[in-house]
Amino acid sequence: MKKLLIIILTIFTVFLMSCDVLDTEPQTSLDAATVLSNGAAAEAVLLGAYSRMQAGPYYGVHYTLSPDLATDNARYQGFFDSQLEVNSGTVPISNLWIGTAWVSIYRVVNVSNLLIAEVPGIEDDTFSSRDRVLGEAHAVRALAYFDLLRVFGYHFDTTSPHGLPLLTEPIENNDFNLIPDLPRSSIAETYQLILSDLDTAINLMEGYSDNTRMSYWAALALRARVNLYAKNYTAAFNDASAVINSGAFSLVSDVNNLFLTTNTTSESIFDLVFTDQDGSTLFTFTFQRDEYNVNPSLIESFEAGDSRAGLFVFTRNSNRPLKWSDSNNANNVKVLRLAEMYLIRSEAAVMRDNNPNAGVDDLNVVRNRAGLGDINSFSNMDDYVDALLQERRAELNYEGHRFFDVARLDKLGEMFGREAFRKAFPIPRDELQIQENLTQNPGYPTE
Amino acid sequence: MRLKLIQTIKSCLILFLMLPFISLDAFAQEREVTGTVTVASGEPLAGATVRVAALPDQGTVTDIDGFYSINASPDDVLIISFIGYQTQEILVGDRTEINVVLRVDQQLLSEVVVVGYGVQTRSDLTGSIASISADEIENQPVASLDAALQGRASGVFVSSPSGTPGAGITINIRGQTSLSASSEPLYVIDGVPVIAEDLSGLFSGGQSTNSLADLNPNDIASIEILKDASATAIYGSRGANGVVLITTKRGEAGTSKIGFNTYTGFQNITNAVDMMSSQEFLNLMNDAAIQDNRDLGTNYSDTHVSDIWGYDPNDPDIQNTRWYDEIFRTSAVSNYELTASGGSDQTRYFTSLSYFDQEGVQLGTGFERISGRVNLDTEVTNWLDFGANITLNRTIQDRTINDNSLFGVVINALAGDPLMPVYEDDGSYADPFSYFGWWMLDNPVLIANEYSRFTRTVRGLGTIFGNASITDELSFRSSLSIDYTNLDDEAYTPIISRESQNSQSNGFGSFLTTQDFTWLIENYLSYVNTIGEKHNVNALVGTSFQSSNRNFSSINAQGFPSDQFTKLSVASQVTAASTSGTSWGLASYYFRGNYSYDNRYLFTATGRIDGSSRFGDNFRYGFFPSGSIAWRMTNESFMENQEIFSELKPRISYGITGNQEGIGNFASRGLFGVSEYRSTPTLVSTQLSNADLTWESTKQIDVGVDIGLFEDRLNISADYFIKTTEDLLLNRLIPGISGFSSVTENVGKVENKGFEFDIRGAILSGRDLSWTSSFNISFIKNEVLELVVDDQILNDSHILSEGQPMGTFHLIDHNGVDPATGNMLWIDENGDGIIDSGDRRTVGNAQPDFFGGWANTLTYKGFDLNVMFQFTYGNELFNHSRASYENLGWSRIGIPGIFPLPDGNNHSLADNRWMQPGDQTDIPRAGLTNKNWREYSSRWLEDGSYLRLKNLTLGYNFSPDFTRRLGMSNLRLYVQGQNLLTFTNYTGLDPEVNQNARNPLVAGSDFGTHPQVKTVSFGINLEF
Repeated sequence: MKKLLIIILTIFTVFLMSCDVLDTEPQTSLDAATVLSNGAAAEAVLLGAYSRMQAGPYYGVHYTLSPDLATDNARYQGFFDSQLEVNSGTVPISNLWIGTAWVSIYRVVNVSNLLIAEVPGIEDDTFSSRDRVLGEAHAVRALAYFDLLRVFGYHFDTTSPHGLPLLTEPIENNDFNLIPDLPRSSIAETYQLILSDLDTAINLMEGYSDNTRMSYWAALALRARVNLYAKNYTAAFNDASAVINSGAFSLVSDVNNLFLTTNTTSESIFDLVFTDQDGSTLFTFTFQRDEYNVNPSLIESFEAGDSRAGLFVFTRNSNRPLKWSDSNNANNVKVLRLAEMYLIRSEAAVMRDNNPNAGVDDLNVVRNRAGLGDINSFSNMDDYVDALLQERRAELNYEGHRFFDVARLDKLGEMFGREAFRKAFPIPRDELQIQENLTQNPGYPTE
Repeated sequence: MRLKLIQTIKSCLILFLMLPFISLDAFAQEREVTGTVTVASGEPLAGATVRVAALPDQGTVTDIDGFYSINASPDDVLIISFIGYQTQEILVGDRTEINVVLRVDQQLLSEVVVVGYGVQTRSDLTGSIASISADEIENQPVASLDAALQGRASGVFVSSPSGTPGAGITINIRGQTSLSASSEPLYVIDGVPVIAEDLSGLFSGGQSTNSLADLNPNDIASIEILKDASATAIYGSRGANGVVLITTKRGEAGTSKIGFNTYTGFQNITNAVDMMSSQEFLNLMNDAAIQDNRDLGTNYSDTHVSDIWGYDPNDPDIQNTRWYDEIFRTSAVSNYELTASGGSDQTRYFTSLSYFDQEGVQLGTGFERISGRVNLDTEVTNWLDFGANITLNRTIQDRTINDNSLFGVVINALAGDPLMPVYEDDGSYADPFSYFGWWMLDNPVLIANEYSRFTRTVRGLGTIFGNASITDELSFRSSLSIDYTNLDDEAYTPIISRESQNSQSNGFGSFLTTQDFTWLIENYLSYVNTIGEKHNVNALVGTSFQSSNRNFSSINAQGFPSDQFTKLSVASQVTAASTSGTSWGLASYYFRGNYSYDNRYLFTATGRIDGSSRFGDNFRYGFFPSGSIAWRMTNESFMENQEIFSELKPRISYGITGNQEGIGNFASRGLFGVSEYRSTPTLVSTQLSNADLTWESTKQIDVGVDIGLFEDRLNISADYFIKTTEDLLLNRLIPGISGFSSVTENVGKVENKGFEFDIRGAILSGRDLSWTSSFNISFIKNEVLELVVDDQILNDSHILSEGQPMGTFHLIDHNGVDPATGNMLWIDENGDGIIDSGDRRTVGNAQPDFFGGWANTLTYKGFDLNVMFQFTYGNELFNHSRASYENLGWSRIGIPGIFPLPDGNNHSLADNRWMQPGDQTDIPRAGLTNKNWREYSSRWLEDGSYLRLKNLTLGYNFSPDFTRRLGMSNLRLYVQGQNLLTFTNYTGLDPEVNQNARNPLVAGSDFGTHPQVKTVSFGINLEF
């Protein structure tokens, strides 16, 4: 009897101790189904979109550097195939960067899709910023789609069928089995979505300024850039003018003060903020490591007296850029800044009027800030385009513009001897494998 | 006063030293007893042991004629024994001649085998279980028990991815079953499934730490490896990769023993890659320019490079640094161990205290462990036993960054410029950027010596158990166990390092902790009965609950006042700090039934139900059954009159087991995590949901036979198995428009099938000379059968494809070197006219065709000699290191005409390069321009087969007469060599290598990996 009692007591104790071993809860995560429960959560999810923009394949490193690496501003001397391939100009469909960029940028699209679908229905009487959140979500989506378009689509040809698959709804039930297999839209449709998102954003965000987010002015500045790419020159001119004339921004007189800081500047329209606790890896790649080097042709391209030539330092056998010189990787990425608006307005005016001298003044504003004298006039359109490309190279190098500029101004063959189809990067191999309706860009293999 | 004290100490010492001799008074009535030991057929039995029961430590063995002679008194009982025969006990009485006939033990020596939740005799087994005894693995100069298993059992593939002291070891039992989850077996120590994964958070470049190195290998009494489903199904959702059951030593009633074991030895790398001297390097660089003249029409002088660099290749006094000699050293390894064991009929104990100290062969590495153990058994009442197993251990691993990482030690030494000294004249470290190699990012000696990286653990493993017999047939066992690890990682990167200078952080450090607390409660009832004469029943049913909590913290800081400090408190800036935690739980119910009829037909059925917190809501509980049948043909009447077979037992088993390791603790749920922007917390979607997520399911059929021949002089086990794993946990690619590239899903199928053979035999068994030998070999074929997405490119060198095994290489291929031009003939696989990553194709894999081991024990009088070989055949290795030290002069960063700057030095095999038209070779011409170098190409793919003299031990056991005079019961001296000889065609440091220890899908790459070591050690075992 005593035996039995001891055994029964043991079994009883065991069950008392063990009944909850299967009930475990994550300590640093929330359930996706219930996350958008109130206005504060919506704000936090929106801010999460910026956190996702910080990812390495996106602005955190590669989207910022690859356009320079794919041309003549940077060169890669390390041993990772991904960067070697971008540097060589012949990017295979298996390239690691394009594969991860596709996913990383679409991840930002999905944040916006979730907010655009859910924010109107959130039951929270204290949610006073509902319109702003909704507007900003549209602006963020426009930025992400435009950035995807510049890499993967025929942004330079508005009649092309090679646009993006346009996902505008959140993934149903958060269930990966319900991801739609979308075909690519045409370029016209892609531009239409981006511009209508920006129109919605600008309407909803009037009076909202914050130069570290896609606020009102950032949406307007982005619309200027998008219109320029889409060859809507009048609209591009007007949007750039609106930003320049707003008085909200001014050029930093010394380029060193523009870059040798971890803060926003008077020129920042949208700075993606990095801090020492939440850094990019731009310093690590361009300065700390030894394989991501400045192409000597960039150094040689500066005119005498150009203060922007001082934004490089020669160390350990190579020039290294100072635009990302904070050793904690805390420099902000200048997604949209005022100098680009002058360059957009100059180009838009020239193209709108088909007059090479219609934009000289704006070009000179940027030159003068760099300590260079005025250009008086151009004899023909080609001269203007060459000068514009040079100015954009001198001003915007290492900020993620060079390849897109060369591609949209149709100079890839002339300058680098590359075939025309390489103006767009290939659709990644992984995506083609799992999405039947997705088609490859012309000229690239499908598997 | 002082003198008196010394005298007291002296007399105590004398007393202490005399103590063992005091019991040595002779027995008054002793006299000589002689006789002959024979077998049933009348032939003499040589080598049988004859001893007196009261003096278990003394005895003699029979000679070639079966004759023995021993001193005994009339009251003594003689015990006559020989392996494989029934032991006889005979009262001496007044006889002086006692002849004995030993009969073959029909229970096949009744060898006891530990199985999950219990023990069985080997003859009753219906499944496939390998046993390894303590004497096969103890006193080997290795940090962890898993390292000692290499080559010991068929079907068990053991490899050390890196020779780093205390590094993780890979064990695959019957192949790799899992693509993304773990393929490592479950380790069960004295009934407790233990945490065996790498808990360190310190970046080390692909190498893991080994939490099994927390335990002292010399505490082990036996290791059983459960291989087929019949044996492993009792471990349910964790049984698919096999189970390693480790049983530690326990006390025996009667004599108390005190043992002292020690060894000390020296270690070296198994092989050094022969690098060029400075003169040879300069000549190669000049040849590169000459070859460019021939092929590209340049017009360099014959001494183009050496002139620019300002050296004369014929100058005998030129700086000539041998980088491998600078980073590797001869290092010491030693172990000291004190044990005490014994007890009475009521209480038995085993205790041990040991200290293991291994200095790494690479500068800056080492491993130290101090461990203690108490195993206790006591009989509380005649129906209740209690016991405890407690071990407490402390390890300190001194580490460096290594393998494929920018600031690894070996990798920076790879193509080290011989013209660069280690130290400048002023004693400071030389800076590679002042010399002629692009490859080296920092001085490897600086990295090894000046970086500080430590992983320290405190590990406690304790079990309290009770065993109650309810009736004669029925008993109940209950146990509570705790497995606790507190690990901290501490790292400091010095101010003088390039890494710190480049990041301008003025020295940076980190401190990370991981605390794992796992508890386990097990209860089971077991029932044993013989019904009638012929029905044997043995059954058990039980429950198990296990829960694990893990907490992490980390702090990173930078800005140190000087390199004299490494603690974070002096740092000027904390750059990151965080804490986190996770947990999992397992609730299980299991049973096993064994039934045998007339000792001829054996049946086993096993099942376990596992509920796991990791599984999705739709599949929370899994059921894992197995069944097996064996037929002991030698017990059939038709086999009675033959003498060839002492055992002939065909057996067959089938079952389903699972694998749940590697599923993230919350992988089934859709989650939002916290990130930050502008120093404000944000919410970001971190994973999509999968309520169907569940275990990987492995179906295994095993057909085998156990054969004993010539009264068990020769034993053979042969098995054929097919192991199919379905519902593989795999990161399945999903459309990237969702913002995710993959989700973990149960998709895909992989198969391992093969043959295993174990042969053991007593080749010679004379009185003075005996030789036993065991050989095992396994042929295992691994194949991926189904994937959701075929041909997944995993990284720059590997692919995952249906019809191919795991670890398949996918590289740019070539047709050798063109004898006319000396250039590589690259294969333009996709025909686009450009050689790039799009031209990769499947070129081989890292899976061996077969592997095994051959162990021999020879004894001659007091000498014993153990010789063990271990081999692996047919696997390929991607010798990525060659991409750096076979650059053949390519000036990666410099401008060939103005200032050539290659990666660095070349290995001497580059002497075999193409030099002039007509040369037939597989190494292309040298050149300052890059025509022939492709990082991820089959140019670096090599045969990884090897045969290794794994262990050679020569020992001498002093005779009982001699040791008795010294007051000892046993004294043994030995000298041991590990990895003394390696036969291989592999040109890298060592063919046993894997830079990505954590991921079998990308196995078989070698990129600056720490090589294996060879050890020569001397040891002594004493027992009082």
